[in-house]
Amino acid sequence: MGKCKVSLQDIAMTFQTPDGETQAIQSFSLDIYEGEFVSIVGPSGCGKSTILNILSGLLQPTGGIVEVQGKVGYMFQKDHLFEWRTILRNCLIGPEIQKQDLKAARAYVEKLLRKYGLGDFLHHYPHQLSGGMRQRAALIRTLAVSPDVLLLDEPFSALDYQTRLTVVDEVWNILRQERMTALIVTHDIAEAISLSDRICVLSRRPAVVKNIYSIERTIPGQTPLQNRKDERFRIYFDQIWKELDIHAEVY
Amino acid sequence: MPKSTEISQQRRQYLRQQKARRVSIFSTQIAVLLIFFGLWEVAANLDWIDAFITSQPSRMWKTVLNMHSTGELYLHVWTTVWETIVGFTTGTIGGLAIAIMLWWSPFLSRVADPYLVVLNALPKVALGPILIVWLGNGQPAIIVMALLISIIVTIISMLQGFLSVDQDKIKLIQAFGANKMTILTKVVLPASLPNMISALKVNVGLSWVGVIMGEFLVSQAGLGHLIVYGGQVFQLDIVMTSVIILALCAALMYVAVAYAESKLLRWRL
Repeated sequence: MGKCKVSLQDIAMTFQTPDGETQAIQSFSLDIYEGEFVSIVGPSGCGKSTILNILSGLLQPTGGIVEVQGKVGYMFQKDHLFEWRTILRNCLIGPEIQKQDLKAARAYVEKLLRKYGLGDFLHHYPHQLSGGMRQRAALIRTLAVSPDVLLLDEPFSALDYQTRLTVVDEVWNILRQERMTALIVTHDIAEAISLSDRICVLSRRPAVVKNIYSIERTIPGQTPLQNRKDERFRIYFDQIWKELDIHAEVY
Repeated sequence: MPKSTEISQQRRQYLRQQKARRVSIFSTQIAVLLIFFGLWEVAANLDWIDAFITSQPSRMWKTVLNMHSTGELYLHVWTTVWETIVGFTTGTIGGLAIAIMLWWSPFLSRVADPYLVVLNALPKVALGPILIVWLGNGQPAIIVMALLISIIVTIISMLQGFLSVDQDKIKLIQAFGANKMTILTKVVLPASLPNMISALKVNVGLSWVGVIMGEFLVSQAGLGHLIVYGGQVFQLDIVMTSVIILALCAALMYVAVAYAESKLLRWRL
């Protein structure tokens, strides 16, 4: 196992609103190692996204220690490409904000866009692209600032099922090739199993870690779509499903 | 091969139909205009209507030629157009600046809220006499009237637009480390551009209302002045002519804004 990229220790988060206070996370600890894909699954509204917001620095936790080695990239559920910018300029927004050398950034982004099949669309506007292409562009926008750790917040749930299976493979492929460490939040158990090395199951609010699964593959190095055919897939699915206790949530 | 020609034939037929439709709409529009003025002219000539109180196209045309030869026409048109442009520009820029301030400070925005509501509800014409006393019997009062009429609406609609920008888009660039200024210039303003332009379109109309109202109250020149003057001396030729010129000017200015819109919002097509 490589070196530790992300370390979260006893993270707690309480939100204050006029109506009262909500304890979203009671205690959350997780270490993520270099090159690892870790998923967080849990019932909806259990504070999964809050963990990503804390990791990216958008939120200050009310307790605990956050340690991240290197830069963090954040990818959202929707692509949020800016309609008024071309694909190329959308992907350059990060370097622009961080006042990096735009010439070098442009060369890098163009290379990524070409490598991942968007070479003909550099100067197109987002509405001219399909959902899957837009999501790929959004990923490249995140990669443009060369992050060390990638946070993905339900990155596929806005896509229709067919597109989704392909896009998961595409994204997985890009992340592998760019040697990314990734933390993925999802409510889709199957997606989590097909995609990740480890799966962290959260309880309902206030969230604590219920269990962490290490996913073993019969044939290592396969794509997420191929992993779905793995004989152990069902077993993991049933275990995690039981753990999540989803029916209890729906009354 | 025969299949593709078949399709293109259908396509050609479709395009022909579309074109025929456009031509028939446009020619009907022209016909309505011609019939309206033609009927007006004929009715006045045959004494169906009293041309003294309704005027008639030929007399209006004479009035135009007359005002053209004395140069009066250009004085009045230019006075009104100038007042409108100044009122419109200051109203828009001022409104935009205040909207940005209110977006920047949610505290200020909460404080200003009830005042904006009251100022928006107040008919600005009521301030006319105050403006005359404060600014005198001239152009400044007219321009300020146009400005007041458009600025409050501008503030309210632009702020609304700023606040309705997708929060996730803001979060996205915050994750890249954006500060408030960057959020404003990279997301909030460009995302609100369509909103701003529709505010601009409304403002053009409102500025004309403000200027004409101002000219009704105080003025030595301008189309509004001509309309009031013509009414007072029972010269309906002048009144009607001025109204039509006014309509043309207002339409031209609106077209200019619509043209700017099509240029600025190319990414939407």
